[in-house]
Amino acid sequence: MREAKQIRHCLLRKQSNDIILVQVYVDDIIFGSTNQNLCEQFVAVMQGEFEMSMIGELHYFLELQIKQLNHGTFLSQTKYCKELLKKFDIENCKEISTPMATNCYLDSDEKGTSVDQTKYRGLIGSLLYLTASRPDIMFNVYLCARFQSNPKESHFTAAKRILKYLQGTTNVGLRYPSEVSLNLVGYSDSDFAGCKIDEKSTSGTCHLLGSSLIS
Amino acid sequence: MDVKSAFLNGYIYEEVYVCQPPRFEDHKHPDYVFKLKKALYGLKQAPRQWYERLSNFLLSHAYERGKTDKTLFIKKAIQ
Repeated sequence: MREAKQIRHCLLRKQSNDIILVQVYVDDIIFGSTNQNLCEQFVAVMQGEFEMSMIGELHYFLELQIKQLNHGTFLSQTKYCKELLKKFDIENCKEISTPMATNCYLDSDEKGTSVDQTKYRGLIGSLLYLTASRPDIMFNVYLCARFQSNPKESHFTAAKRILKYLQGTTNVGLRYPSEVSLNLVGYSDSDFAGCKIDEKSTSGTCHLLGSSLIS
Repeated sequence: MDVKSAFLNGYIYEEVYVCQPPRFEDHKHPDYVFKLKKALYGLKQAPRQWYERLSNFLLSHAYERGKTDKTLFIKKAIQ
């Protein structure tokens, strides 16, 4: 009797550690749980209240491709990236291994020829969304984004170079291994008054939980 | 999962009236307008009312709203 009670207690405690997470984006809902039962309960409850369709395992959410493998999860925007290259007619260009030249120096370039502002803004906006899974181009995109109010030929060339870099790296993404290390590490770097226009500093940070990038 | 015609689920508390839609006219009162009880697509209230309906529903089922991400809902099983 006593043994049975102990086992029951153990089961209960195990169940009370379970958690379900529900993320809502307008009409798209993704959810995950440590316990399959909780997921099934959630689906039943939701279908009782709203008319909805189940799509099954998560593969694609807001242009993010998600691959769930045995050893972890892989996030990428390969499809989005390829469509982006197509949209800006740069599909068959030469690949470049870096997103920006080391001697690249952008300023407001008052004397340069102006380019179509709408197109430039569109390109920057598309690239900004890509940074969700591509922190490697983040600095370059933000640098180009500074000249949106008056884009010149030189800025557009720099932005197009990012696309040429993407051409060779469409498959790159973020990997979240399933190993459970809760070691939080933060890195930051900054240059002192590195900007030659207004002598402002540029800084950046990133945080890793175990070996997964989280911010 | 995907909610079908999500915005039609929200209840609307302001007074909003619509003309009688074509082929749904009331022959007895053709000059009447309809008062909306639920939201329609294109109304500026629609997204807010949908979020309200969904979040109230989840909160009533013991889900907790995320503190910074207001569209994340968490439930911890207590039994």
